[in-house]
Amino acid sequence: MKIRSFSIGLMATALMVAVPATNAWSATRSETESAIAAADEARKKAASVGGEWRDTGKMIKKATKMLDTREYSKAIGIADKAKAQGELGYEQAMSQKDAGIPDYVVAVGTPKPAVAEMAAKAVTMGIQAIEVMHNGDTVVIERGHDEDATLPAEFLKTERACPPFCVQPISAGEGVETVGEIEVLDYLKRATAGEAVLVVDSRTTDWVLRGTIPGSVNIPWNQVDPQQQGMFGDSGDIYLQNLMTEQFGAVQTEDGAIDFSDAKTLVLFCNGIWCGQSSANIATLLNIGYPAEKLKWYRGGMQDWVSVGMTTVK
Amino acid sequence: MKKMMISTLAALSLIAGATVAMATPEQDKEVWQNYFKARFPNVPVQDFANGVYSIDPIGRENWEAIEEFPPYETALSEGEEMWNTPFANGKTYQDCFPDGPAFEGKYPYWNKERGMVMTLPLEINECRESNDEKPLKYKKGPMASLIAFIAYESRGQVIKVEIPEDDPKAAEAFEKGKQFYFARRGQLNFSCATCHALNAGNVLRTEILSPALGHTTHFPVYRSKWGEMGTLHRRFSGCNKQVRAKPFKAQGEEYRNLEYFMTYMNNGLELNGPGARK
Amino acid sequence: MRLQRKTAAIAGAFALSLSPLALVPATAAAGDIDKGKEIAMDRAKGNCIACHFLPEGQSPGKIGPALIAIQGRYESKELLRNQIYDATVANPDSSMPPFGKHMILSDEEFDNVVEYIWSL
Repeated sequence: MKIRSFSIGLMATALMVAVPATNAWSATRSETESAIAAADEARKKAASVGGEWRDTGKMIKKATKMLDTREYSKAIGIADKAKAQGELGYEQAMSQKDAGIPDYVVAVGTPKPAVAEMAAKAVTMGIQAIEVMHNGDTVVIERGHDEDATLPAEFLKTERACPPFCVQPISAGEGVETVGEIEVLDYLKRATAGEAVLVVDSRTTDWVLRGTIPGSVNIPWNQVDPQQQGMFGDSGDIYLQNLMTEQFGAVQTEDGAIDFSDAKTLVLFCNGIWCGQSSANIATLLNIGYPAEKLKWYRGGMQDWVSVGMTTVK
Repeated sequence: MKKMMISTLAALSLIAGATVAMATPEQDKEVWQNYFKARFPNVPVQDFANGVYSIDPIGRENWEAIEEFPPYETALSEGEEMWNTPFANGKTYQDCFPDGPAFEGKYPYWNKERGMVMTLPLEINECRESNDEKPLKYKKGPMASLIAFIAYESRGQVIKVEIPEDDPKAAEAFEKGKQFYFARRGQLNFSCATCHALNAGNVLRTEILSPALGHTTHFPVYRSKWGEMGTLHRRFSGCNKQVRAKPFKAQGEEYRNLEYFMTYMNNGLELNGPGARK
Repeated sequence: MRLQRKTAAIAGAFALSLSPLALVPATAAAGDIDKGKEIAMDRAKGNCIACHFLPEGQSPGKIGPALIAIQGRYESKELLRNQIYDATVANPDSSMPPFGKHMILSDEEFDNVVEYIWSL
């Protein structure tokens, strides 16, 4: 008994060792059919999302033919590879669902806003831009911010009631020089450099808040005029005197007079040729003795400034 | 990749002052055409219709020599004969297409009633079938000859594919064609853009890859490799096989949407088929 | 019965070895440089020459970087292996097919190519 089962066991082991290469013994037909079916499942799944690869179907056909030639192991090998292709194809298609124009095309192809050449943005020949300090910040004054810009709304009107918006004469007072943008830029440069120059926005605060020339100081005209200030007599004068000494660099002498010899050169402006605020300012200053040669009037004002696209700050 | 896209878009929006929104087909087309103009600044825009010969001077010389005696001449005569030969019932192609034979510029277009993109080969077969003729195969043979003749007659027409705003499905078809174009596929994992946008002008073994801009203008083509004429969808099929993806059906939905997208992106270029290529 | 279970195990192991999981690069056996070179030049196999300059290559393409001084660009064979396995990991816009992940080459062919490129 024992010997018989032993020799059967020995034969079986010998067969298992000797026969492994024979395909008919390594796998069964049904295992092969399962592998092929699984492969075709995967292929169809990929096809359902448009992700089938070129050779998957061929591989499955090849494996199917091998059923007849009984090359089961080989067929399973091919079928499994086909299954993997189906799975990869499905994953690939799913990962590409949101495919669109790639970054590298968008980066090169997106139209950039018109950036004018530096030379074409000049204020005038020889002047590109200047840097000034405004309320502690550095601001660059230049032209050409926006090719398509037009005048701000508040400067579009042509009809304005006079008074108060009367057309101004060319001169604000005897000896007071009327200046333009280029001169203003030069004064701004000098003021920023620390020279005894001050560019003054004479308008009331509400106008200033809509935009002013960078580097300018707001001294509303009705503050300089004690009558407008609504102050009576001495207190108004005191305010004015403080303005003189603190802001303008004038010096009060012992007998109450004001020494303007070290006073700053003031460049005053307001809204433009239809605005009387800065010329009122100038008249007041002349009245209290401010030297005419130290008063400059930028008659064009904000209207002209924005008409040539110059930088403003709010 | 998504992060990169978002930050790139954000950066661009800062520059352009635009919001990060879905681009319109018109914007897509502008970006696309700008890209190729920037990549190949010495090519006049209309010249992109000459495919790789717009960027390959040696190839161009050979091609211009070939165009003296174009290899598609036979197809042209065949096509003309087909156009002029009545069907068994006595009707002709002219009856189906009163604008013909110079009417290629109409295609492809969106058919709202049927909710699909219509192409020239599709309508040719519909004309045949409505006249009891057998439909022609879509990739080569008589169809290619007939279209070659129509293309030749239509040379110079400006491509102006429309995406009607009164039917959102038209825009959908465009977007599907777009997705198809930019999706990686096949065992080799290439999208159409991998070769024809990213690597346009680069050398693959011995061949210069043609830029995508202009691709649809010059079909059908006589391709030396084929030794005969072939249609646009034949080329789609070949390209898909080359990247080891299973090709889709000629004149099936995928390829018609793809044609819709690709032709729209060529809006502004002139038709110049049929073409001769390696 | 025993025979069937054992061969099922063999078949299963064989199948598993072909799945993409198994191709995730781990420590691999050293490949054959000469065989790798053949694969790199063969249009039906690696076809590296289609896009890359290779020493002694005929009409190389110019899409990817020249395959020279590789060890100056890749700190380890492992990193090179990863790149050839799936280049889109490092660069989502890559033009290079995923030779490992998409089973374009067999395991043995893959090892051989890695060995060859590493030697350049």
